[in-house]
Amino acid sequence: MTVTLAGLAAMALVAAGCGDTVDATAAGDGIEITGVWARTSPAQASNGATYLQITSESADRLVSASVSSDVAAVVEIHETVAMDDSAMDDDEAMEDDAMEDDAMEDDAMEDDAMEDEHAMTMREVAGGLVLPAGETITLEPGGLHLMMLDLVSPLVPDTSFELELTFEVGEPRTVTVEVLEDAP
Amino acid sequence: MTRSIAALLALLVVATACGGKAEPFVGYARNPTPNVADVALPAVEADGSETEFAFRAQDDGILLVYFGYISCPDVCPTTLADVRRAVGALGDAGERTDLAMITIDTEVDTPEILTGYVRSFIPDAVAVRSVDDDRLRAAADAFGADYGKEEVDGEAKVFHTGSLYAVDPIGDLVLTWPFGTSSDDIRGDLERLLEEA
Repeated sequence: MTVTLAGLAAMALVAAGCGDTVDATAAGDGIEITGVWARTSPAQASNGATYLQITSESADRLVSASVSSDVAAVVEIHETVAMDDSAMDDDEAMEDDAMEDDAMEDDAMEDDAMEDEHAMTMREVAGGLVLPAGETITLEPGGLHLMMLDLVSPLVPDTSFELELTFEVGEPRTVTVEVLEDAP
Repeated sequence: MTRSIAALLALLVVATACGGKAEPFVGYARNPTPNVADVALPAVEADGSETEFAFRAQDDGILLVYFGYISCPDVCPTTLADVRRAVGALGDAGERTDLAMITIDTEVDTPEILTGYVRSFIPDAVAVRSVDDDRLRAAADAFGADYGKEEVDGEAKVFHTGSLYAVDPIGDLVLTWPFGTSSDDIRGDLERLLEEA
């Protein structure tokens, strides 16, 4: 019942166009974490992703994140990136260069098209996520995210789970992650 | 001021599902238009049975095509959730829209989990799985999509083109939406494509 009410409240806030989720936390030590949500995961999906915004008053680093072992085995800080030439193997890179050159000689539309069709991949953010002083770092679909590996059970709408964040300087923080079908 | 009113009117028109013919598509068309009518791959059911699936939309419809994989936690569910939302917002016209998801990770994505996964987004979606990589590669090439796995520090890293494609009944690839196109923009483009179909 509590969960349902919280879910309804969250939906009401979203419907009212209020960007903050109910679990937005103002920090005691200058780290503010807002907009925490995870997308629902189909039963067949072994991995999930949590998104949020972090603002640290002073320079810090998000070192790691974790969830209870009854949610997922591991949480990694990941980033979805477009494959650039250096990330591809040599053959692919050469082929890609050739295609780009051809495209440039054609009209602008085609050039855009080639740009858009760079393949995407994910990489772990090595050494943690740098939080420059006063800057809001946004984890959002298609960019930075907290990847949850080996989900124990599917993430279903309007439930929530706890996520612990560990910082290099700031105190560890536990936030509530709302599971939503679509971005808030 | 005039512009604001015009924008509001445009929004109203879109909101009432009347379409706005003068607006350009958000997705892009390629020149020349690729035709994928001759591309066919196995569509699978949960029990592993296969039928050949040709990449053409139903009459008066649009076929959405996506290359992805199930352990992809970020871009795949984002785009598929956007498709669910866009198609849902089309109302009855959504019936004329189909989705085919082609797995690029056949080792992990068995027929059972692939069908369950994609149909959790669109209930009657087509699950496409080719264990013959030559055929899969040829199909991806026809769409201008890329995919693969590469070893980085001993870890297999999957990469794939994150675009969503719209194919018409004659197999013309009429529109491509790069990853990150909003569900609203996809819905708007689909409305127009379906009007013209």
